[in-house]
Order: sequence, then C-alpha cells, then structure tokens
Amino acid sequence: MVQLLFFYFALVVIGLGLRIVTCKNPVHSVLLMLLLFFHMAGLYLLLNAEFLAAVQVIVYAGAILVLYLFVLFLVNLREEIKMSPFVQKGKWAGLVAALALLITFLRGVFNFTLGPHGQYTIEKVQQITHTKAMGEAIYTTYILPFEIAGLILLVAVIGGLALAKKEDKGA
Amino acid sequence: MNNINMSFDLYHLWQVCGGQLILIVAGLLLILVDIILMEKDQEIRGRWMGWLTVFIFAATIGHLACREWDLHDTIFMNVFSADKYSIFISIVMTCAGLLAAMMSIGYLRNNGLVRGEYYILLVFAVAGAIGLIQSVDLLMMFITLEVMSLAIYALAAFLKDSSYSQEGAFKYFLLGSFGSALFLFGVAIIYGTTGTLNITQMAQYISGGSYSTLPILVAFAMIMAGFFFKMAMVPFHMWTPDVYEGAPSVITGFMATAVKAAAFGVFMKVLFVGFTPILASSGQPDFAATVNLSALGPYWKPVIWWLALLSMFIGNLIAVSQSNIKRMLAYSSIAHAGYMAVGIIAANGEGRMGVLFYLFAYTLMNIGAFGVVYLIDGMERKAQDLEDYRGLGYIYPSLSFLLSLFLVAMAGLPPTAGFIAKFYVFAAAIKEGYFLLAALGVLTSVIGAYYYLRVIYLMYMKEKVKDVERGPIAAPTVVALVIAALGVVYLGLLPENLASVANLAQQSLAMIF
Amino acid sequence: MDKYIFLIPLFPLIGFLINGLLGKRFGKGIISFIGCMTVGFSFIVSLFIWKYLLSLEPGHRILTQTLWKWMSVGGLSVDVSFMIDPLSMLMILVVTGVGFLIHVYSTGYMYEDESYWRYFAYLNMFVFFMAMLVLGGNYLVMFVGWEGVGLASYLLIGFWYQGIDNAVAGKKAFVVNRIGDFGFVLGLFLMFWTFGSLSYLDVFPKALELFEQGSLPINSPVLVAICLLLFVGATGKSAQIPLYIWLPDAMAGPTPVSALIHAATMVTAGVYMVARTNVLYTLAPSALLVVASIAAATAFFAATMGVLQNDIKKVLAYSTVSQLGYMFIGVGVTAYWAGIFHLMTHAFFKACLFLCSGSVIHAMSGDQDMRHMGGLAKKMPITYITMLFATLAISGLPPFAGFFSKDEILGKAFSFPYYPMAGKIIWFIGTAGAGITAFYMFRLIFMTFHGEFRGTKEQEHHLHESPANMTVPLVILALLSLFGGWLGIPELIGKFFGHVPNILEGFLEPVFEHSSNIVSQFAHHGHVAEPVEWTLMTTSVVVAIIGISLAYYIYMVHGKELPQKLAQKYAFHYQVIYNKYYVDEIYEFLVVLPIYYFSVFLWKVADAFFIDGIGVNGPAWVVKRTSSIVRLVQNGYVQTYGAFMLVGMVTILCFFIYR
Repeated sequence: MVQLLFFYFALVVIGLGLRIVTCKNPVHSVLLMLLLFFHMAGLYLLLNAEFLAAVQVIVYAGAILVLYLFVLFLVNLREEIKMSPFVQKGKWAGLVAALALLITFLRGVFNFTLGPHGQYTIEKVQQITHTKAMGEAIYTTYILPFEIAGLILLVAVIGGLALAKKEDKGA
Repeated sequence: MNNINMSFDLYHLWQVCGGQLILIVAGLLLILVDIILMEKDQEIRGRWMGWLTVFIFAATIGHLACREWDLHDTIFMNVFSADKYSIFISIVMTCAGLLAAMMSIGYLRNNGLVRGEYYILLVFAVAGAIGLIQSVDLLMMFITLEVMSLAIYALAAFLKDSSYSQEGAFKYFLLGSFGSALFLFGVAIIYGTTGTLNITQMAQYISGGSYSTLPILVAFAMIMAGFFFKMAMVPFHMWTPDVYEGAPSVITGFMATAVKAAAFGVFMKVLFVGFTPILASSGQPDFAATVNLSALGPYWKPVIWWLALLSMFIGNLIAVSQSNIKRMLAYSSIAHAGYMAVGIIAANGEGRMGVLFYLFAYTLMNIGAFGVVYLIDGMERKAQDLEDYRGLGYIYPSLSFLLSLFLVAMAGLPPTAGFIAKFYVFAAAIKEGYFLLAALGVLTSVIGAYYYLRVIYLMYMKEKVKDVERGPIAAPTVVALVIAALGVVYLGLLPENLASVANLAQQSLAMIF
Repeated sequence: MDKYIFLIPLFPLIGFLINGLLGKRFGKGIISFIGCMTVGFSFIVSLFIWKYLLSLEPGHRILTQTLWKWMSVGGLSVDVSFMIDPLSMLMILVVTGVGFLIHVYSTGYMYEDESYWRYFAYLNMFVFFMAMLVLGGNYLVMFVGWEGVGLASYLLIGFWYQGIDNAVAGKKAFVVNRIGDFGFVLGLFLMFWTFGSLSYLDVFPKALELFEQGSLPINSPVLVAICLLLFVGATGKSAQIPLYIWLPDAMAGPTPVSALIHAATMVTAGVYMVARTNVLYTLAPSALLVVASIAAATAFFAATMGVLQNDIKKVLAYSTVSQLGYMFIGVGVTAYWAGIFHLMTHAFFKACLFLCSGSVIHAMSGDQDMRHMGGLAKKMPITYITMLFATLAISGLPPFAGFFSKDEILGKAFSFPYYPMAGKIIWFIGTAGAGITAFYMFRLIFMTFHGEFRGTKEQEHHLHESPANMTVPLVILALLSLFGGWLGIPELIGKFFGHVPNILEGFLEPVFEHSSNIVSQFAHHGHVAEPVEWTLMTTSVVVAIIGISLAYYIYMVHGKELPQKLAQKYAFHYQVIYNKYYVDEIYEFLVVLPIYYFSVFLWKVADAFFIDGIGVNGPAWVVKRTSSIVRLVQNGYVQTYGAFMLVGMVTILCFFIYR
C-alpha cells in the first residue's frame, strides 16, 4: 500500500513537473504547480514528516503560489511571448546532457548506502513525533543556522525595498 | 572531532564569530540610523551612512586582526570555526568592503543615488561572507552563502535606471540560484551518505574508507560546481561579463574581490578540510586512517587542471576583443580565477599560501582599478569605452597613473604585488611538477599583458577624440585609491610579511580538521 | 665597498622621482642638472667600486650586497640583492658612463621639447632599471630590471605619441618583448625546479657540482631547455631572429633614446644574460649551437636589410640588430669574453653613430631621409669626423675598436670547440656579413656627408654644427671608438708591441673560468695555428675594404645612376630586401590576426551566443530590454549560460564516475 502510494505521488510529481515547464499559459502553470505541491506534501506524509507536509501546504501552496498569481496578474501577460529556441541544434545537446545527468544520478542512487544515523533515529522520531524532533533540532543544534536564516529574510526585504521603492528624486 | 561545543553560550559566540556579530549588529543599527536621518538632507545622510559604514568595517578589521587572530588554537562554535585561515580571508573581504565603502561615498553622490540601503546591504554582504568562510557546516555554508548572495544581487541591481544593471543582476540571480541549487543538492547527498553536515566529521567518515564512493563523488562534483559558479571559473563564468558590466562600478570591484575571496576561501576549506584533508605538521594521533586522505586527489585535480587552463585562456583571450573597460576587467577576473586555481591544484602549503596572497593582492589592485574607472566615468556608463581613455594620461595625470599601476599589477609585471602573487602560485605548481600548466599559464599572461597595456597605451599615446569629464573626486575615494596603490607597491617590494602571515593562516587549515 | 653598491641604482631612482613628480614645475636647467648628475654620480660610484675591485685578488673579485629578503616560497628564497663581479662591473661602467654622455647630449637635443621633464624622468627610470638588471644578484632581480627597461623603452619609443606610428611601434616593442619574457620566465621556473635557487652564487656552483657528480651530464635535456628558454628571452630583448622586428620600428623614439636604449645598453641585456649564465650554456652545447646559428643568421640578414634603407636611423637600427648577432656569435661559440668585448666597443661606436645621426637630423630639422642629405661634411665637420671614426670602427678596420672585438669573435667562431664544422660556416657567414656592414655603413657616410646637398633650400640654409653639449659627447665616444678596442689586443698583435697584455680578457677571466675549464675538458682543442689566425685576420680586413670600395664605387664614382640601374635590374631582389623580406607582414598574417580573430570568435561564439545584433541596433535592443523584467528574462540568453553551467557540471560528473 505504502509502495503504491509512493509510486503514485512520485509519478504525478514528475509528470506535473514536466507539464509545468512545457505549458504555454503561465496561469495554468501556476495552478498545476499547486497540484504538484500537494503531491509533494503527500510524499512527506509517507515519510512520517507531518510537520514538513503541513509547512509545504501552508507556505508553498498557501502563500507563495498566491504571490505568484498576483505577480502574474500584475504583469498582465495576455499574449504569449514567442521566441525562437536559444540554441538551434541545442535540443539534442540538451537531451544528451540531461540523459548523462540522469544516468549518473541513477548510478549514484543504486550505489547509495545509508550513512550512520545521528541522534534522531527513525524510532526516536516516531516516538517523540516529527514536529517535536524538528523543533528540538532547530532550537538546539541548529539554533545558529536558524537565526542566520532570519538574516536572509532581512536582507531580502531590504534588497526588495531598495529596488522596488520609487526614487525620491531631488529630495 | 575536536571540542565541538554544542552548548550555546554568548561569550563563546563572541569569541568565535565576533567579526560577524559586529557587522550584523552594526547593520541593524544602520537601519535605525537611516530612519533617524530620513528627514535630513540627502547629502548629509549619504555622508553619515557612508562614514559610519567605513567606521564599522574598520572596527571589524581591527577586531579580526587584533583579537581573533591571536587565538592560539582553532576553536569551534557548533557550526563556526575561528582559525587563522578564516580570519585571514575575513580580513581580506572586510578590506574589500572598507575600500568599497570609502569609494561608495563619492560614487553614490556622483550617480545621484544616495540611499541608505546600499550601505546596509554592503555590511550584510560582508557579514554573510565572513559567516561563509567561518562555516564548518555545509548547511551553514549554504545559508551564509545566500545571505551574501542576496545582498550582492540587490547591490548589483542598484542602478535602477540602467537596463544593464537590471539585466545583469537578474541573470546573476537566476544563475546564482541555479548554482546554489546544485550546491544544495550536493549537500543533501553528503548528508544522506555520511550522516553529517559538518565537514570535519565528513572528512573522518570519508577517510575512514567505509563510504560508497559514487554518491560522495556525485556530491563532490555538485558542490564543486556550485563554488565554481561563484569563483567564475570557465564554464561557469558566463554571467560574469554581463553582471560586472551592469553593476555599479564600485560594487563590481567589491564583487570581483570579496565574493571571489569568499568563494575561493570556502572552496579551499571544503576541499582541504572536507574532501582531501591535510594534516597538521604535528599530526593527529587519534586519526589512524591517513591512507585515504588524498584518495580523492586523482578526481578533482584533473578537473581543476582543465578548468584553470580554460579560465586562463578563455578569460584572457576574450578580454582582448572587448571594448568596454568593465567588461574587459570582468574577463580578466575570470583569468585571475584561473591563476588562483593553479595555486589550489598544487595542493601544497606554498600553493595555498600563494592563493591567499593572490586574493589579498588582487583585492587591492582590482578595487583600485574599478575606483579609477568610476571616477573617470563621472556618471555610470558615460565613459566606459576603451576609446574614451584615449589621451587621458595628459588630462588626468594622477588618475591615469593610478590606473596604469593597477593594470600593470594585474598584468603581473614586477615589482608589483601582481607579479609576486603569480610567482607564488606558479612556483608552487612547479614544485609539484605541474610544469606544463605553469608554462601555459605564463603564456596566457603574455596575452593578458597585451590588453592591460592597451589601456595604458590609449591613455598615454593617443590623442583624445572625445571630451571626457570625470566626476568630482571625493576625498575618501582618493584615500582608498592611495591605500590600494601603496599596498600594491608595498606588497611588490616587501611581500615577505604578508606571505608569512598567509602561511600561518594556511597552516591553520590543517588544524580545523 | 660592497655597502655602497645600492647607491648606483639609487641615484637614478631619485632623479626619476624628483623629475617625474615635480619636474613640471622646474626650469629646464634644474631638470637637466638633476637628470645628468644623478647618472653622473652613479658613474662615479661605479668608478670607486671598480678601483676597489681591482685592488682585490682576481679570484676574489665578487662583491655582494643584500638589501632585504624579498620572498620565499617552497624552499626558494629570493633576496633583493646585488652582485658585482668583473662582468657586471664592466656592464655598469658602460651603462652609467655611456648613459651619462647621452644624458648630457640630450640636454641639447631635446631642449625645445615641451615634455622635457618627462623625457628625463623616463631616461633616469631607464638607467635605474638597467642598473638593477646588471647588478642584480639573482635572476629575479635581473628580471625586475629586464621588465623595467622594457617599460622604459616602451614609454620612450612612444614619447612623441602624437605620431601614430610611434605609439604603434612602442606597443609592438612591448608585445614582442613579452613573448620573449614568456621564455625567460619559464626558463627561470625550470631553473628553480632544477637547482632550487635563482641566485647566481647558488645556481652555478650547484650546476658544477651536479655535473661533477655525473648527475647532470653535458647536454642534459633540462639544461638545454633552460638555456633555450632563456635564449628566447634574449631574442626578444636583444632583437634576434625571430623577434627582432620591434627594434627597427623602435627608432620612432628620440634619437638619444635610440643611442642609449636601442644600441648601447638595453638591447645588449640578452648578451649579458647569456654571458652571465655561461656555466649552464657551456654545459649545454646544443643550446650554444642554436644560439650561434641564430646569431649568425641574424648578423647576416639584418646586414642585408640595412643595405637598402634610406632612413638614416633605420640603417643604424638594422646594423644594431646585425652587431647584436655578432655578440651572440661570440657568446654562442663559448668565447664569452669576446662577446662582452664587442658589447663594450659596440656601445661606444654605435652610441657615437646614433648621436651623430641625431646631430645630422637636428641640423636637417628632423628630416631622416638620406636621399635628402649630402655634402654635410663641410657644414658639420665635428659630426663628420666623429661619425667617420665610429664607421671605421664598426667596419672593422684596424686600429679601431670594432676590429679587435669583431676579429676576436670571428676567430673564435672559426675554432668553435664543440662543433668545429658549424664554426667554420658561422665564420664564413659572419665574415660575409662584416663585408656587407662595411658596405652599408660607408653608403651611409657617402650619401650623408659627400656629394651635393639634395634637400630643400630651407634645410640647406638651416644647416649648422650642433652646440657643444652635443659635440663633446660625440668626441669622447669617437675617441673611445678608436681606443676602446685596445683593451683587448690579441696576443698575436700584442707581441709586436712588447707583449701588450690583453687587459680585458684577464679582467673578465674569473667570471668565465669554469666554462673554459669545461670546454678544455670536453671539446676538441680549438686553438688554431698562428698562420691561420693571421689569414683570418687579413681576410676580415680585406672583406671590409672590399665592402668600402664597393660603396665608394657605387655611390661616389657613379653617383646617382648606378644604384637606380641596379635596382631596376634586380627588381625582385630589391623589392624583397627593401621590404625587409616581408617579415612584418608575415607575422601580422600568421600571429597577430589569428589571435585577434580567435578572440573575437570565442567571444561571439562561446560567450555571446545570441547577441550578434547588439552593435547594429543597439538602442532598439536597450528599449526592448527595459520594458519589463519578465520580457527581459525571456528575451535574454540566460538559458545559454545555464546550459553551459549544466554541461560543465555534467562533464565533471562524467569524469568523476567514468574516470
């Protein structure tokens, strides 16, 4: 059953991913992406990571995609932008590169051996629940990265403001 | 597995990452100052913010050089390490920030965009860069890399009226995200395979030999690719000319030096601590499996060999046909990345020392060159064509002289810092038997000399065709230029002092492990 | 006395700084005083050191001074240090002595120039770097000087930058020299790799030691490689085939500069370097053969190119290239001292020739074309006589200086110890070249000073002898062209005058001692019998006289018509030689254009995949881009960049996995 679910989610994620980049209408792309995020959340649930699944839905599906839609409406892309392909014969080159990448990854996956576990083994996570384990890790071991990740947001906000703000000419 | 301290204690934090803390706190305060000065005249506001930033950077350099450098041992704060190596590169980057801030005071005024955010972003960029170089944790590396990168993306787009600036920054952002994604994916594979994100623990795991080679190799390749992007090595270099050309000149100088220093520094740290660790001269008694220490050498060395060669050739060759001076310097920075990579490939103490020296020297001459470029420019993009430099030698003798000095240093002519730096890295490579690479490298520097000297040739031996009016010269810019020029000459005549400091720094790399 | 060595480069440096920084505000008198006196002081210091050096035992004539430790890397430690031994002593005396005379001459020649201060600043800078080159105690300090003189020469060639040709010539000089430097630097790296040091006092003993242990056999590949790479540097700096092309163009600079840099001192740096490295070269005979062969070819071809030039300075330029060839023949056939001897005498007579030509050009109001001159002997007697002295010297007529040094070189070439057969050929080529030299030098004399004046009335009216500050150096140099050779009178002639010793050979002997030991140990004994020696000497004199007579016959007896008739009869040959064998064009076609187009190609193809249209419709493009960010992204070519990154990463991955 779990196997079946996994394959369902995984295949849908791949299929949707391909559709999103090939789709010509940006609004359709965004809506398909919403679907993709839900399936991603499903994958997380299968991994017992309910907190991640919730965050995926709330933050990505709820917040970020809405933002995307807003931007799309603001930019107002009525007509489709057509352009000639970048590298004329590039399709084949791209295909070769992508295939090579795929093969190396596959080889990597089949040679994959799991490394040593840290403090949080599967049993322990199941026992204390994922959300709690996550919280403990973030607020103890990874407190510094967590704090500094806040800095990223700050910098992004300042940068965004600086770029978006109307120039106060002659002030 | 040295004393990695898991507990959180503020004093310890201050001890390990004082430089970062100063910058972060100061950056936050700057936001407040900017708000307080909101009502004031733009001129005053710009000056205040600028001078405060200069002061912040100076204080940080002071703290790093006087307090942290004297740490007798390498100490850890969970995900950060304080060691002479990190401190050295932090100082290089803060110097770049300091010089850039000094020049920015004049630059922003000349271009009429006095904005407080500019300095705040500059401070955070340096803070992120220092965090990056101090990280011993791959996750932390990623986060700080993003702090630095985001600030730089915004700074690169700071010329809002210039489509070049916007376009360059956007390309940088997109490709940078791509590079970061590659890096992050590599980190994920490392975590899955070794169960740790800490590069020292990772090294123990790898050199224990009980790993599956393939995933490690895949991860290694992806992490390398992520760093090569920031280092601007061929073929990850293609953003460089567009971004460098479009970004505000001072920021270009800062990017070409601080970001390069950060990328090279952290790459060497990951390489020589994580993947192919080097041992301190004293040796690590508790560490038996030294056999596997350089097992990855045959993998990364040929890669860097080729990339260094390609960077030197392509960078120098394409620079020859450029007509915009910033674009030319962008290609030259690609070539310089190649030269520095020659020092990495040597993988010996001299090579690492050479790279550190090179980074410092390159910082001085490159920021200096961009400083002059902005002054001659007046307003951004008013006089950036090489043709505009015709005959400037007699109109603006001192500026032309300074630019000539910086370019001569970049061309690697004695007795300037550029020559010594190149000499160090090539000598180190030759010591390890990379004679062919060194020979080809010297050959490319012949090509390099051609386009650097063409600028000098235009300035001194051509009649001017167009009236070029430089912008007003601000005092701090002059000071920064003079400091850079003196530094270039001083390091050319007496490189020993810096070299021995760089050597100490380089040695401490073995102790992180 | 060794404490004072640093003063020699210091004085010109001070002069450079004062004139360069403040010169604009000074009067010409002060500038001249500073410019000349600093070099004069250096000369005086050199004289004192020389006196001290002579008071030492011949075997111990080495003075060193270490100023500070420059850098250390990988067991290599390089100091900023100076070394004076007889070789560098001789060089520095020539550099500062001739340099001083030329500075004095310049005060007259350049007097009317606007940028007088700049000129003297550059000239002092040149002397400073030249002193560094000559006095350096290791190859790296030599390299600093080596690059520095290149820079100074570049600046001085392009001094009158208003003329487009001058600036191009300056650039050409620099780029060609950089190609030479490429070889030089690689040679240094290889040397450092082999011997672990770059200091003269370490490298040579180490080489000898390795040689005696047998681990460094004669002609070992690494040694040959070092020597050849260093020689590549020498071909750049000293204008040998194939890198000689910059020197004739370098004549665009002021004439005193041609005299100082492009005749007397800088261009001989390559000869000095080979002589300095004599131990290594002696251990690598095949490298020596290359040196000697290229030198002989240069000596001959440059001489032929000089025959048809009409620009008085171009004739002298090709003659310099040719004479440098003779010097390299000397050092190439292990007759190191003879090469240095010719370097010294050449410095005297070629400086004299250039300064005389400067005096002529001065009188002709800047006209350099010999076809406009003629009959100047009457108007400018001092110039004429001094120039005649120097011409006799370069033609190799006894008892002028050139005779002794050139004859010594050719004699030693005849008995090249390592390759006797090649030596004979080199001797033959060299002797033939000497004949041509005599021919074109006297062509110059006849065209310039004899016959009727062919210029405009205005020029004729203006003709005058130069002022004293120009003629006094001429007279001194002319006298040196006569007597300078007497320092190296060969034994053969010396014994007629009561065994006059060969002073110079004795003075330089300690420097080349090891080399001569190795040569005598390994080579066929090269001493030729006395009658043969007499024959050789007579031959070269006879050849020179034939050359002079031919010039007299063509340009004096038959005047105008014969040269033209000959030119018509041999039109093809005339064209080829007149155009200097089209070497410049060939280089342009084979080297310069390919690099440039390759650069453009790389830029267009690899980096600017899709921006071909930018140059043509720039503004439209910019407008298109500014319209919106979304467009900007989609219209850009950022995908190409990303694709390259991806391909790069995949390549690395594939290498890692399928290695």
